[in-house]
Amino acid sequence: MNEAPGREVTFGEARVDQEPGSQTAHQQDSGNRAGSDTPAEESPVGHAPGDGTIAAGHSFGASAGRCALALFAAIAAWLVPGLGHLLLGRWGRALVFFAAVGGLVLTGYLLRGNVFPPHSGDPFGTLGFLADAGTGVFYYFSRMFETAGPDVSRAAGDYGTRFIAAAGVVNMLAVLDVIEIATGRRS
Amino acid sequence: MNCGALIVVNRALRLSHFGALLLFALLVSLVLACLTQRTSSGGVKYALWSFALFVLIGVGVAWLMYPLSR
Repeated sequence: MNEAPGREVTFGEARVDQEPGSQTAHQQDSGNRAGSDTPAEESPVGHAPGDGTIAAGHSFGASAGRCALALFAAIAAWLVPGLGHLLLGRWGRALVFFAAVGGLVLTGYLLRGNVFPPHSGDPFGTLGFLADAGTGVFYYFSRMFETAGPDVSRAAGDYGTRFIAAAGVVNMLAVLDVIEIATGRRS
Repeated sequence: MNCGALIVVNRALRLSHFGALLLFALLVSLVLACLTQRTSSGGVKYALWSFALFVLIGVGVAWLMYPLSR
C-alpha cells in the first residue's frame, strides 16, 4: 500500500498511508447499500476497491496486532504506573500517572495505612486487596516502605489505607485509558 | 522534615486532616484531568475545577458532620 503515493491519515496513534478512494470492507458494504461513494477518511488499512478478502485479512491482522499491543501496554501500565502510556508515546501522561499513583501510595505507606493481604477472610478484605493490587509493583514493595507495619488505631493510618486503595483504583483507570488508546478508540 | 502541615518523623508521615484532603484532592484531580481531557488547557481547567470541588465538598461535609463528633 505504500507503493502508490497516497494520503496520510491518522487512526488513533498510528499514521498510515492510504490510496485515494480506498475503502474498508465495512465501508464498501455500507456504501453499496446506501448507493453512495463514501470517502474513506477513517480507514486504517488502505487497499483497492473490490478486494474484500484481502481487506478482511489486512483488517484482521491489524486488529490482532492492535489487540496484542493493547494487552502488552495494559500489563505494563498495571505493573508500573505510567509505563503503558510511555510505551504508547504519551510522555506527559506517563509522568503524571506515575507521580500521582506513586505519590498516593507512598503517602499511604508513610501514614501507615493497611495493606490488604491476598488471602483475607472477608469480602471487604478481598475488595481491599483488589484495590491495593492495582498499584502494581508498589504493592509488592509495601514491606520495604512500610517497615513499622500498619497502624489504623489513628486517623492517619485510616487515611493511609484510603490513599493506597485510591492509588490502585486510579491506576486501573489509567490501564483502561491505555487500552482505549492502544485499540484506537481514543485519540 | 517539616513542611507546614507535612511532617515526616522516623519514616512515618504526620499529616493534618486538611493537609491529607489537599494532597488527595491534588493528586486525584491531576489524574482525572488527564483521563478526561485531551487538551492541555482543558486539562488545567478541569484539574483546577475538580480540585476546588474536592476541597469545598470535603470541607462542607466535615462542617455538616461536626455536630456528630460531639
